[in-house]
Amino acid sequence: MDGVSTPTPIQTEDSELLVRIAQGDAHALDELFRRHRTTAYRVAYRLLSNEADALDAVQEGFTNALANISRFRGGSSFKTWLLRIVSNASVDLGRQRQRRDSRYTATVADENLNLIANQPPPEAGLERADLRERLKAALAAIPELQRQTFVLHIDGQMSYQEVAEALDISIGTVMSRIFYARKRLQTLLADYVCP
Amino acid sequence: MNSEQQHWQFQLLAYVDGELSLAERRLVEDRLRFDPVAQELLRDLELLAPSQQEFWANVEPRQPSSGQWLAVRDALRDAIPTQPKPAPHFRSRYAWAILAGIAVSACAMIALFWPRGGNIVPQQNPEFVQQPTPAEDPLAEFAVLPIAGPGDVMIIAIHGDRSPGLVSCDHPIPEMLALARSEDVDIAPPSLFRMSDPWEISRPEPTDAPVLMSPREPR
Repeated sequence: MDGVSTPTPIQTEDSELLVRIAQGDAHALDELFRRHRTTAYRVAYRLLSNEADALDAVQEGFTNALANISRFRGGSSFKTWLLRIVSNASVDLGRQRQRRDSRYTATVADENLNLIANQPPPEAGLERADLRERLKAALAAIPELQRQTFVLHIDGQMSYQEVAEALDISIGTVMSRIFYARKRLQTLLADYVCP
Repeated sequence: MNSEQQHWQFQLLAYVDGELSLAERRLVEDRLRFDPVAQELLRDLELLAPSQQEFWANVEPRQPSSGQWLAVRDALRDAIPTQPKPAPHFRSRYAWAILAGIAVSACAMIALFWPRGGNIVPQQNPEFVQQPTPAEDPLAEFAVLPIAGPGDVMIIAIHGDRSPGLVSCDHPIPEMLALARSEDVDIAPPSLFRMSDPWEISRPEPTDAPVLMSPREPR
């Protein structure tokens, strides 16, 4: 089977929904929202680590994506287009939060590293919530561009090509960012992801 | 790290993530077969690969509630405007000008003939004005309703009655209520009665109320 990631052509179903939305079909809007909201939320949450902020980013992402649908040329899938906007909205919201919260400085990343480093090895049957917290802290400790690229690939379930289109970068850059992000996360989560 | 090593690492990453073509996969697998360093790097890269379904399932974020989703959906509905259907195409070049002229004329007509507010006095149509009903006549059931005035009656005496009072006659009322005149009333002179007190002739004053006459029971 050919494993080359090729650009996903626009899905007929999404395109049909977009046409109906442009005609004022509220049910088509609901269907499109229902179809992509879970993935969009997962991406936003992974980038923001906050449920309320993630919901805001999802709402803003959907709104911007549909309000500017005329800019969507159809070269990629609507999902790629949407997750690009959602991830950008999440990054912007995260920056606003950092500026707003005086406690959230560059030292927080170091604090996260200390948190991870000083924690005792996990016991068998580690709770999901605790593991999520560990991952949250580890993601916050890697550079923003690497984090965004990694999250789109893993949580957005996007191929290298789709991530490259979404972020308007080369596939080589995608691979580089994912590689170093994964290496860093592996180091931070060594006690939790050992084979 | 030179570019070749970096390229090999990225190829290995793409191999782990299933991003390589069949030919590229075979090249990587050939090298893995004989390169222990590559095998170790492969194991490291597999730790957080998308294929690690158990790990990613454990860290899946908690999804919003249905109520939260509905709130976002409603906000999205409000934000995305409804596109109206396109208006029918007017073939006539001057159709819009004609419509505009009609609209302006209508507005002018309304402005000219619209009644001014403030001094409008409602006009009563006598046909529709409800006439007040006359007060109910308490004596409407009487066939004749003359009233004896003071000049019509001269009271001299009352038969068989010691107290001054009204003159009685033999005409029952209400069947017949006639204007009482002196000759209509038979009043016996006081001398015919054995009365202890003399009678006084009582003449009604103009201010007296009209007198109604009613039969008396014989004593």
